[in-house]
Amino acid sequence: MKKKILIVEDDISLRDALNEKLTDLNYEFLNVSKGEGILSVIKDYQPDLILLDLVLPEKNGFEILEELKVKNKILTPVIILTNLNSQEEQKRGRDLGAIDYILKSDTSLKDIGTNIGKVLA
Amino acid sequence: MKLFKKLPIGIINAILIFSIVAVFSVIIVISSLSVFRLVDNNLLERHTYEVMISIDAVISDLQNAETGQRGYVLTGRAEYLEPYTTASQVLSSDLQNLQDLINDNPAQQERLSRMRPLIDEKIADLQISVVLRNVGGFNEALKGVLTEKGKQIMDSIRLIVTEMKGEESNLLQIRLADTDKTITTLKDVLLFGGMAGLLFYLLVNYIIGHFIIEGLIKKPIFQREKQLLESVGDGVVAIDRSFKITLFNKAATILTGWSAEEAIGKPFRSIIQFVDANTKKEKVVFIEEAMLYGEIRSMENHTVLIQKDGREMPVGDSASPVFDASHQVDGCIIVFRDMSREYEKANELAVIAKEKETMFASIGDGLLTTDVQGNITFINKTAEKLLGYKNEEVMGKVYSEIVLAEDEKGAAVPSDIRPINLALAAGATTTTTTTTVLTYNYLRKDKTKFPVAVTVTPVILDGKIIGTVEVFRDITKEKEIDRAKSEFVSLASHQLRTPLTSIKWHTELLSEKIKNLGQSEKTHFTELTSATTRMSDIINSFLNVTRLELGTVKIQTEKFNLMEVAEQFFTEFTPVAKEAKVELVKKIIYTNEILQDKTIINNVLQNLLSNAIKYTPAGGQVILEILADPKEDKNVLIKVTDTGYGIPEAEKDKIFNKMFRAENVKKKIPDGNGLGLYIVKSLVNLIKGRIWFESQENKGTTFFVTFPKK
Repeated sequence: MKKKILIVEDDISLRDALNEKLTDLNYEFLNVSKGEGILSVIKDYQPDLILLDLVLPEKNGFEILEELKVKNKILTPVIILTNLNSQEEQKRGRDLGAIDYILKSDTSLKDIGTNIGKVLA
Repeated sequence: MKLFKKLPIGIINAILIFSIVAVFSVIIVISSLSVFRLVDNNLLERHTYEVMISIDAVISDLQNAETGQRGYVLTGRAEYLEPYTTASQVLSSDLQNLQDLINDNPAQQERLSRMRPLIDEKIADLQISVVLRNVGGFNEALKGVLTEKGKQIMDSIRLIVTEMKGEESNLLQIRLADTDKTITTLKDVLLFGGMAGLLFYLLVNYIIGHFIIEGLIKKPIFQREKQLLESVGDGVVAIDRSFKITLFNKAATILTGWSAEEAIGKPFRSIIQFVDANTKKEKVVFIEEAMLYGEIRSMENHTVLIQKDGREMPVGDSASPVFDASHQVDGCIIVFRDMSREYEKANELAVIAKEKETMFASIGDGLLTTDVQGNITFINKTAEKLLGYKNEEVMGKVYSEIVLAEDEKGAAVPSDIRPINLALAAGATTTTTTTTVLTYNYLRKDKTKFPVAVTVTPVILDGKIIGTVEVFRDITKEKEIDRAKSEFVSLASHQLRTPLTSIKWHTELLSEKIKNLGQSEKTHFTELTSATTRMSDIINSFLNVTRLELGTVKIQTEKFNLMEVAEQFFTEFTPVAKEAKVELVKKIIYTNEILQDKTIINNVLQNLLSNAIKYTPAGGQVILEILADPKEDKNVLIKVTDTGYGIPEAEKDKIFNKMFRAENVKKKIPDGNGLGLYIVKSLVNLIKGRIWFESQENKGTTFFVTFPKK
């Protein structure tokens, strides 16, 4: 049974790269480009992992995270995958329940894959 | 007496001395002569007495002889003849004695020579009587006695004796009278002498007191002073008790327009009018007071002198009383000078002060000045507005009680690091800028705050600090701009990261997907990858710098083992070092846990190690040491030593500057944005550590970082 990954990312080129990598790594995935209606998507798709970008149109990643983890107590592990990188943001992410915080521009797809592997193991 | 005063001192002296000597000489001479005369008289009187005695002796001898003769004639007994015998024997010596005594008196000698034969006759007569008695007996002798002859001779002798005695007596009288007279003379002379002496004493005293001293002392001194006064640049006018001018020097002439001849002897007021500059009322009270109280008095301000031609001249100075020998006020000396220049200068200063006041009021920044003790001496309008105080409210108050400063957290800024105290202590200008990590807020009177940029400059006069000048401004706007700038940089950086990530990932995928890549194709991929990494580094650096400057970097301490971190880095850098053919050595002596911000320490190690490897040519060595700081036992010391290109002497003080890269490596290693060390230093300062280095060009460099263990 392939693991399912929900990708919340609005940049198409990045999303494509992620998609290809995940395919290579034998995962299934679903792309969403914004937080609207995410709860129902999760309910339907039942992902094993969520890759969450922070800078999104309308609701930002933190708000979504809060909604998922705090308000709705969704248990699905969330890895924040973002290009925002400050101490506050990292802290906030972890406080809100993210299991990991990855800076995209500094991390290779390979390393991302390794991290995903650790979480889904 | 006036004439006497006019004589030169020498002559007066001579006259005095001559008179005294003359008078006393005369006294002495007269006294001496009198004394001699008395002595003489005394001798002469004595002589007279001796002559008299001697005459008596002779007479007595004769009488004795007669007595003896009579007795014997009467009795015929030998014992009754004794007086006769004795007398006859001594008569000649007595006569001789008398002869000697009257040697000086021819009249007496003549008388004596008349007396001698008579004496001889008498003795002969007596002798005959004696013989007759012996021979003829009593009756025969009696006959002889009864003849008058004996008696007649004796009478003649007595006559002569009377004459002689009379003469001597006369002489004696004369001498006695003379003696009396002489004594009287002597008494008179001595009395006179005594009185003359007393008189002279008083006279000399008086003369010395009033004339000689005045002449000897006052006059010459006054002459010298007069010369001095003539040469002095200020006007000097001397007046006597009745306000008549006695002295009027050259400067007074120049200043007033009156000549000395015109002024001297005239009443002061007729020549010199001191008036008040505004009311034109006379102002000589100061002179009167000086003479009344015997103290120097100064002219009041705004005193003006009316010159001979009626013009006005602003003057200043003083009146000084003059005392005579008995300390009574005798006159006054008034000194004055032209003050026009001073008044002009005072005006100029007033104008300048007014200009400054206007300038200060119009500058847009707050201006505040203090004295060297830190008391506020002035604040301008802008400062009033910014602080909410009026200038009058804060003048003279202690700076630190009025200008309250807080840091961003609201804690009061310690006084020893406030710019004003740094400026006072170091004598150097101290500035806070908008980009310093520590931002001050000033509190207004109503306790609201605003962020400030402050520059304090000490005011130095003759090498001593006499106060400070502070210029400060409300940087709320600038802070907003800074914030906006940082947010922009943040945002921009973030925006840049997205396409960068895309390049990175797609390149990665490409390199995986394309099989059978030749060496040069592989190189392309390597270059692409490395470029994206570099770009990412740059963006990260920019973001770090911005955050540091904004002060948004917060320390988050955690317990961790430095050794572990170091080991981690070592491992990470080993391939890089290998590639660069640089040997990596570690000497980790301190292995305890520390409580610090791990991210920052990571950053520091990362930077220093990568620099060390980067700037060391192949074959070189990089040593990482971690030990307890030997100088500071609360600190840990990290040392990164390389055998690389080193830092040139001239660039050593710029090495921590933003965007700075040393000349000697710029060409060799084009890669580098000059931000690394700037960030490292800012981070080290943030954790209250210190960073420094030692370096020699082409030999190597050692960086030292010390920071508290907790």
